[in-house]
Amino acid sequence: MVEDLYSKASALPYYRPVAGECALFEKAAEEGLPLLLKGPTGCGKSRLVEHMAARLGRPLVTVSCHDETSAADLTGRWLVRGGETQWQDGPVTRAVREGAILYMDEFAEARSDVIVVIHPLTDHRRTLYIERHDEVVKAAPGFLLVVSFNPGYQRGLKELKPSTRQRFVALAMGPPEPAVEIEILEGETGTDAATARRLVALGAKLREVEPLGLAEMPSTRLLVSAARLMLAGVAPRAACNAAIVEALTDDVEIADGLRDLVALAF
Amino acid sequence: MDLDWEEGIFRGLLSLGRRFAPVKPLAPPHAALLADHQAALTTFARLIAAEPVRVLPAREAGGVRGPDLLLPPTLALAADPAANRELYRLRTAVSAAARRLSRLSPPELLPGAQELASLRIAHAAVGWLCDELPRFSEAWKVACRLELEARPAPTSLRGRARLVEEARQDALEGGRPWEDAALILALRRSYFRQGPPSSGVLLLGEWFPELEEAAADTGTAPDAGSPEVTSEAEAPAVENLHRVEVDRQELEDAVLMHHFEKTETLDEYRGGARDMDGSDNLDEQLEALREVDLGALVRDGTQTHAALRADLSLDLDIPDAAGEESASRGIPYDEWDVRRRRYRPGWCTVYPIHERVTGGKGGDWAREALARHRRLHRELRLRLERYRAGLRLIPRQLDGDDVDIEALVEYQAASLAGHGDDPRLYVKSHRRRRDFATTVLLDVSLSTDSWNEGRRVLDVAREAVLLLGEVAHELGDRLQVLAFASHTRNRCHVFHLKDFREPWPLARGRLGTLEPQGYTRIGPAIRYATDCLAREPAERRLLLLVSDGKPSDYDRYEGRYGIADVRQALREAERREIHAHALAVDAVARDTLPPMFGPGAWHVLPHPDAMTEALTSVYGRLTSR
Ligand SMILES: Nc1ncnc2c1ncn2[C@@H]1O[C@H](COP(=O)(O)OP(=O)(O)OP(=O)(O)O)[C@@H](O)[C@H]1O
Ligand SMILES: [Mg+2]
Repeated sequence: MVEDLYSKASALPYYRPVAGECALFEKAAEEGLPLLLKGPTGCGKSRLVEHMAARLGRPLVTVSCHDETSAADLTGRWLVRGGETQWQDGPVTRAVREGAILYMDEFAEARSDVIVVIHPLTDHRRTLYIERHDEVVKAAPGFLLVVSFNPGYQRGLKELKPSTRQRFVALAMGPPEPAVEIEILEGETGTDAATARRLVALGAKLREVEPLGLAEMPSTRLLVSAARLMLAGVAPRAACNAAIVEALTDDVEIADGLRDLVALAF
Repeated sequence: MDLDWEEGIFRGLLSLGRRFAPVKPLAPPHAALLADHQAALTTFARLIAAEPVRVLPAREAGGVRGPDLLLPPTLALAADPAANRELYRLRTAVSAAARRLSRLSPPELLPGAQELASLRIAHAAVGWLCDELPRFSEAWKVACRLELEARPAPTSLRGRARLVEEARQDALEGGRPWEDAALILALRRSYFRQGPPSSGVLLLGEWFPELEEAAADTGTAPDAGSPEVTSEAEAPAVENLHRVEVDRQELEDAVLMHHFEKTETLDEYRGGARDMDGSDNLDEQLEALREVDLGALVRDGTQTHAALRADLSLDLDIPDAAGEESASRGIPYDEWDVRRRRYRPGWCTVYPIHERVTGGKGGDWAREALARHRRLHRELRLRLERYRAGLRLIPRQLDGDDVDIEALVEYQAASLAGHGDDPRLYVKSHRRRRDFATTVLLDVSLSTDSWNEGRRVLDVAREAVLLLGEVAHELGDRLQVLAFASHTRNRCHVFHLKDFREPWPLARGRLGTLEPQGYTRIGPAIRYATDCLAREPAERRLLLLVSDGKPSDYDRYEGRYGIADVRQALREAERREIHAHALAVDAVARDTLPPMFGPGAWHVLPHPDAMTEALTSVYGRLTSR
């Protein structure tokens, strides 16, 4: 259900800017412009938000949307306590009141009742209407809405309506350049440069072939996991198979073909 | 649904052909068989080549022919199957890398000493692999040793074969025989004194220049009379070329071998002669040519035309059906011509046929099939209901969006009475129902008359559609079922088995009366189905294709051309916000479905029995989002 990661940022989570996205994020925050991060899974969307929240010194509220998430889950609900009914704020309401960064993951999955609640927060009104509680909450200064969206995933079935999309400043994120990705692996896991280089080369080969019909390209996240397993003492090939190959496909034969590549890379 | 006489014969031939289908090659127990690893190696080859190449069995060492990688049917150089499987990995990598490099710069050929050019091209590929894949070079050295040990001593061979063998062994040991000008000259001199050839290098294969290049050559040459040109045309297509001299007499009363089959698809030569007349349109026939394993090159007595070219030029009349159907019923559709990168306007004509039969023989079939699948049917319905569960507000929940007033009142009353402990006081709302319309497009072409694990493909497919129809009907979904088969571009038939507003029980029997017929022109069928769907008011539209996934038609709708047209048709559908998904049983669909349907929008089922379950599950998943 709703994952309410409420963190008053302390240490700065590691993030290596790939194409000036930190600067853009900062400007959008200054201007109070809602931000849409789009990019395939594992490309660093969540990490960027965590990093920026810490950097800007703002609390971060994270909500992941799926099609069971209702407006009430987000805005709040009445609870019955010992015969009394009592209102309890949902995560969105808290973020709006406190002027936090509200990060809504997988926004395309959100139901239309959720989108309706979010719309007035994205324009000049910067307001949350809570029908159930008969309340209008003006966003506190510093409130920033950031949503993420994976355009490639299950194409055609999860799209944002233009009327929603155009309310956001969009930041496209993708797999980083090899040199940058090597740095990310080193910075994130502390692996050695040679291993990082090999992993990134392997990832690049796997990304090259769209016609394989894999649902998703291998992400930086998969490479990070493989590097972690190796550092933990798992044999390199086994680490790649577990962290990368099996994560990409359940098709036995495609997996077999991917393992062929791994066997020549590690 | 009538059957053309040509098709009748074609089907007869097909079953004849099946009876004589080649058996698996006899291989020692320690060998690895390509057939067991073809799918995996195809994936691997695509990763290396960075394009959708195909892995196909060769007769012997094979090689690279355009995007087709021909690999040895078995490898037995190493001591156990696993090690031989690893050799396949290396060989696949070399061929795929050679293909990849050739796209950057087309490799230079060495006429008369092509074996050396092949070695040089493979060498470049090996060099690239050593740079790209850290573990390659180590494994490669070991493999070369194994092959060297298995190769014949050059001294056991004579003439040209001996020179070639020496060069091959030299290359396997790291030499560069292609730089030896004297050797090139010697090979050229001995070109026409071919003794028994030395066998190809299993780890390297040959380089066969791409057909397109050859086509361009022959296509533009005003006179094909010079022996140079004919040998250019013959070299590329054939692995281990052997020549068949055609008797003059036989030539005169040339028999048409496959007039009734696809007129323009080549076949292996099994004796007899073909019509050797006709103009050159090799270019147009390349797609057909790619599909064929050219085992023999037929050459006539004179040297002006190689029979290869003559075969390709068979330009028999394609039965043109324009007159057979009343034009008013036909709907014209454009087709995408990938070579010219534009549409051929109004190229295909689709004839929608509204089936009116109900019950009868088809009804018996449906009853029998449903009885057989009773359990699966129930399970699928339950599963879909679960996907769609909670379309309403569900009262008396432990947790929910709103307070359940009724429950609360009872709770208050009960508390006052001293026994209120039922905490289920909330109403939960569930996702609202998505408004969708779905069209199932069922391939009923002759290829569905083939058998897979003891079941006829068409029966597998229509049972799957039957169950989907039942479940969708029970859930009150909006479903249309179309079947399609084509007889050239002029007669693409689409059978309406069930329209959106027709009651499902009427359609059951129609599924039962389907018979395999015609070919698989998928493009116009998709375009027609797209039109049907687009007209149907709905929030989301879904198109499900059940087919063998291989575009084909009597008039050259195949290979790359067919795939590109289907992909284009799907793009058109996507632009109209129609999501398409394909299912197939046949393993060959692995080659065609991904490039046509793209990431995550296809399923190739491991065996036919999985189809019924898969179709409804995919439907359930796609319609529940
Ligand atoms: N630029 C980057 N700097 C540092 N780490 C990164 C970067 N990009 C990716 N990563 C690594 O990739 C992992 C996955 O990133 P993250 O969880 O942010 O992905 P995401 O885009 O939010 O994916 P999803 O869409 O699945 O939620 C991170 O844990 C981090 O290790
Ligand atoms: Mg994330």
